Amino acid sequence: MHSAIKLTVSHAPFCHNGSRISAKSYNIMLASMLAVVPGFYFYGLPAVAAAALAVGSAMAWELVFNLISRRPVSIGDGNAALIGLLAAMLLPATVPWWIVVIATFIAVIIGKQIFGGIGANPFNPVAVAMAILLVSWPDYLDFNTALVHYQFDFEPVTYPLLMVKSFGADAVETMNWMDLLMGRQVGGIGTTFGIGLLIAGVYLMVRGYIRWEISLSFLAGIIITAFIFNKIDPESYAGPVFHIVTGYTLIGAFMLATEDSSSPVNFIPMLLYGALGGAFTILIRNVGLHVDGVIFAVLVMNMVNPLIDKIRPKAVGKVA
Amino acid sequence: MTSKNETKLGYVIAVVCLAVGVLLYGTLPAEPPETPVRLMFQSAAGKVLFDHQIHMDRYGLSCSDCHHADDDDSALPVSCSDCHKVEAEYVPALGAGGKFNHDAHSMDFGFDCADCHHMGDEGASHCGDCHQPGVDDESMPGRTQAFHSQCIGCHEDMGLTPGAGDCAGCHIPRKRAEAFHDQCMGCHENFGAGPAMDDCATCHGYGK
Repeated sequence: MHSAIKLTVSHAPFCHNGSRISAKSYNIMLASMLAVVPGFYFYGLPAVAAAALAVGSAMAWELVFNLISRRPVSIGDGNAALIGLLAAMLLPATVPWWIVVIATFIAVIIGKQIFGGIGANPFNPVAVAMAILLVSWPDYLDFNTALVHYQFDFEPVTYPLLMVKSFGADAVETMNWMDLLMGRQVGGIGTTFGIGLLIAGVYLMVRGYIRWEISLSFLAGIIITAFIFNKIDPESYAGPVFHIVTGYTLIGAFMLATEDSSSPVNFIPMLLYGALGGAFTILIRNVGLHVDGVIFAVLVMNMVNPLIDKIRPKAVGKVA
Repeated sequence: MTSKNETKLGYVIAVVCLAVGVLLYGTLPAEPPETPVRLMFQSAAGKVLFDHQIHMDRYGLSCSDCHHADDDDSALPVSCSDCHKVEAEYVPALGAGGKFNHDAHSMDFGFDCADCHHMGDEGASHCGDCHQPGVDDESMPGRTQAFHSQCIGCHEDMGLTPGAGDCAGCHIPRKRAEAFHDQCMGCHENFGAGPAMDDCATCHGYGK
């Protein structure tokens, strides 16, 4: 006899690293500070303003939705705060306040809550917000335009990925990869200090807060695809090291592609998801319309994630 | 940490961050610096990123090398697009549509032809036959210099306006693209530095 009780469950397997969601959120936020604090140093108080408003408004949107939908208050899990911080890290320091508020609205409400909240979102909420902003208000997200009033002690003071896209690999020949890694480049509040992002990524992988399979395969996808393009036409396409240390690559590998509910949980699918995400990033950068491809690559991979996650060993035995 | 304490911590973080964000956005200066560092010019052919500071510091250019000189040296240059409009039509001071009124000068102000024109020069029916555009030498000033000397010299002798430096008093400002192109590329060509006229993408390659 079948029982009349029905249970709604998602598909197995499930991963649990033994800690609470809040521990995961705050650990990722604290690790991110390794890149955010240098961003505050490079860009000053405007960067602090954007980051604070992003975290605060993301939590406010979460609370508003909790109250409207009469669900338990969930700002304690830190996920909204993490979404706000990651969104701020991707934005230029001089971004207007209303762009920040719209970004967190899109990420928290449209990207997460309307799908059922944490764990139910099919796309990375931050990537959804950034994609909509990039399409709707590209001028506010153009780093070259947004940062014209800043004096830097490096040259050229231009967004490296735009340089290589517009003027070819020769235009970035003078850019030293170590300088780029140390944050001597134009970019988002928390995306330019690569050393910080690398340390944060290693810490999060070791602690199990993010899946190393996704992060490392994402970077491998970037390296292999960029290498192929560079070998085919070294004058037009920059090499793999340049692509690793510029744009949203490192934050994408460690903090965007690894978002739980929009990424696979099986081993082979995780490797495929990451590697294809990296490859798509380079394809968009080198032959696509957009200057950086990380956001759209993550979204595309989020879209095919359920399909990729079906690639797993067949269960032994026969089900009647 | 219990769920209740997590929520309390969440409220604290949210309130503090919102307060800091609102306070900083409310107090940070919205005005750009008095002397620009870099400028991003929007253009139909693609954005142009101009490094104002490098042109000042490294190339030793003074304000008047690029901006119209002003009698009042302390005055800041006005925005180029205040006068050089995107859709402006260039109209010379003389001729159809120009601001120069020949009838007023000859009839109302009582000038003779010889006050302005060379009389009796054989074979020259137009000023430009001898004063050729863009050709300046010691014996024969080019057309621009000849007209400027003639008009401005007379105005200054008589204490009249418009005078030197008041371009818009006689000319309708050129359209913005033309003014910028002449200004940037003219200087680049003089110094033998790129980008030049046939290298559009090097300036206009900073996105749409």
